[in-house]
Amino acid sequence: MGASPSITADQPRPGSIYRPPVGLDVLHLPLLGRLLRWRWGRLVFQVFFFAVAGLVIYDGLTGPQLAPENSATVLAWVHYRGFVILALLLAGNLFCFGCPFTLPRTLARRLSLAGGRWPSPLRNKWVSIGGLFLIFWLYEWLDLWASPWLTAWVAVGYFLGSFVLEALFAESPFCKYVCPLGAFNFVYATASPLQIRPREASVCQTCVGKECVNGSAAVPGCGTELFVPTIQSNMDCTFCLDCARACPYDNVALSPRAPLEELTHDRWPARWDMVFLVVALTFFGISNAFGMVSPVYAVHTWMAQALGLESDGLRLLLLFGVLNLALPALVVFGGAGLSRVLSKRSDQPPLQLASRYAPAFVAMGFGIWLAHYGFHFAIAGLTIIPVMQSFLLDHGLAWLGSRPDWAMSRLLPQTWILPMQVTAVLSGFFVALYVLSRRALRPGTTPAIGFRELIPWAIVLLLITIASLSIFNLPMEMRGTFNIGVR
Amino acid sequence: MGLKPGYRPGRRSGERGNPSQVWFAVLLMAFTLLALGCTRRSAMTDQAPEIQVEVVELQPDPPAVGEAMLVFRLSGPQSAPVTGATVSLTTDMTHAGMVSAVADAKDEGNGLYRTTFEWTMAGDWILTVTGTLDDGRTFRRVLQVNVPGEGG
Repeated sequence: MGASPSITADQPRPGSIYRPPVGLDVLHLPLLGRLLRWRWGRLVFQVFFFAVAGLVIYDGLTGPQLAPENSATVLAWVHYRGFVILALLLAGNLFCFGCPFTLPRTLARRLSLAGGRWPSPLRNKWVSIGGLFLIFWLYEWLDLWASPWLTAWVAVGYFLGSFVLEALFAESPFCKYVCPLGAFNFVYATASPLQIRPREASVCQTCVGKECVNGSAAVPGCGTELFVPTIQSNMDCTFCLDCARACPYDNVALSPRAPLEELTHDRWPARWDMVFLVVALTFFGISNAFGMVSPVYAVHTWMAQALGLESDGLRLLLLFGVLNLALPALVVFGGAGLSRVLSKRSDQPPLQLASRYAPAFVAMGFGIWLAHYGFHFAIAGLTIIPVMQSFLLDHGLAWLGSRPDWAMSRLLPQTWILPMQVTAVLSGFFVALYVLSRRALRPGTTPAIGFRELIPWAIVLLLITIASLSIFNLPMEMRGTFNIGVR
Repeated sequence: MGLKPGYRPGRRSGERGNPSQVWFAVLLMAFTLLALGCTRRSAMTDQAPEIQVEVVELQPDPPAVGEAMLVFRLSGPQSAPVTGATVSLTTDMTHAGMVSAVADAKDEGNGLYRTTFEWTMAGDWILTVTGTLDDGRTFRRVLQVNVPGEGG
């Protein structure tokens, strides 16, 4: 292995942070806690998700190429996304916990080629942002949602990416710096109710080995190099629980925290990449939903006629460049600039202002993604039953019946879905306003100054809410897929 | 707080194994999946390749969101009408995660079959005609229909 993980001088000393006593500790619940703390506890979940990913690849490459009848597209674009957003809302980053893409890591380590550190200029979220942009662009351009074959190759790409980076570098750069899924999960896990923390801070103060990050002989330390006593955020925490297994004092807890604790406390890192990631993900949510309603075709037609862009890919590149990169940049820099002007405090650096109010976009984005992914999960959550019936019958197995029941689809009545979407978006908006206000009203600032500071951000959030509700209220329209070999 | 039972101090190891074992396992898995894939019924020959499905009438025309009616003709060799088949129609959007529906088609004689269903939204639809002939052979044909939306 390469250089030791970072416990750097700029991190707070373990004993310097006040921590309330840990109440409920999931890791000490009967049965579940024991399973999670077991050395192979994570592996149990990873093997399950690995089998699911294997099914996605196998069925995607060899099965029927009609998306609603293939487990690759149904599992990836309906169930994975529904599971992720609900898990983040109710518990935490459970997908990264059971991530199958990191399972071949052990093999990669055995093939370890160099073992160097991830390059310093890339030790941030810009690569993840690029990856998110790429995957959402490919999703729309190639209609990944309609192609089991391409969906399978996306899964293969994730396995290869994780494997290669693990083989080339000593740490786990794929999770922390590259993986678009991880970036999404990290951002929205900041609103999740569970967090890793020490059971007793004093134990960490006297700990010599720091096994939670350095690892023990039997268990590796934190792959993303987080040091338990200084963890204040779910950002970059994959919930792998290696820290808990490595701790010789059994002093790591996975416990609930106050609702919105991380978003409202002034702990958000002052980094442009973090600010941009959070804001951009909200716009990704809007553009992803916008791709499913009819006005997007009017925009395509206009771009083809006015700009002469005949290529779908180029039009989408331009559209997504504007919606997902230019607009977030405008919001970040414009918001910070206006905050500074309105508060009449020119001494505040733009980065400080942007990072102060960016966490509100976590709540806003969460509401939009919940409305979108929740829609597909609610309307087609049961599709997996006929899909698996069909899959088994395709292999001569009638374990789930002799005929797929294709009429099974809805998990919830259709009439519930729009009200639930509206509730999700409005909840996101109001929680975002609450986060803004909590961050604006802080020691050393008068309420009036705080209020003036948050005005531009509140206006942007209002506009985003109006745009989102308008999109979700439009009739959906899925077109442009008949040229990719759907049969 | 004391050390937990079974704890052994040390740093994470960088042990290396035999790469050939890894590649062998990967190749074995790939070949197994390939072999399984070749045995899938959907990958095998159609039981009734001579059956043709021809749309005779689709109402409303052009398609629009709402109730719809489809009449199609089943024909065999030399365009002979196929009667007595048990036929159903599955409607799907091209996007996984939309509402699917299944409707039985009524045999109206002379190879004509009629069914009603609903276009629940505009966009690209896949209509899958699945049937069992009176000799027990099954067939499956797919039709593609675009339901124009507000943008036309």
